[in-house]
Amino acid sequence: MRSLVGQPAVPFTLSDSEGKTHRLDDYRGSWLLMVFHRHLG
Amino acid sequence: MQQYESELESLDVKVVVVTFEAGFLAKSYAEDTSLRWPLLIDSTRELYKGYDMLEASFWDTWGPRTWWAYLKQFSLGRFPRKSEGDISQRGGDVLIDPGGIVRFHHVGQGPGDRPSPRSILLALARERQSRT
Repeated sequence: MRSLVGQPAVPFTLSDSEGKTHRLDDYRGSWLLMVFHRHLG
Repeated sequence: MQQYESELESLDVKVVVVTFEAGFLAKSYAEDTSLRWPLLIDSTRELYKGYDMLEASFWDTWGPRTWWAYLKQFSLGRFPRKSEGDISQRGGDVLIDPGGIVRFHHVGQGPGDRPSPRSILLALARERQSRT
């Protein structure tokens, strides 16, 4: 599995469970931790 | 991870949780777990793929590490609910710096392979220190 450390973050535009849109650019200027779930169990 | 919320907040780290499962399941999960962070829905899994979080093998999904991880959860009184979704989808953790560069990237081999929140905080502390 390739490490992406040091690479630019993958851009995204996604809706949250409340319907609000989030973009990577919204978080520029802050540290961002993205926790990817396997499944919602 | 939620128990580290105040620590992450004090370090000025924004957190988002990403799932590929949409609709009612996502909403009920956010409510049932009192999730305070945004739950982003990546139903096409493009973001998962972008971070190399692809399909886990049968062994990674059902091997002894998985059973051990579930046993640990059971011992803590946590009982994962049955998934209607794809249980072979890998998960992981990604830390991005304020300039948009990936500073921590972990792809879980299976359910039992997850970095501890403490190790993510340590990686963050190291990165911050290297900038001062």
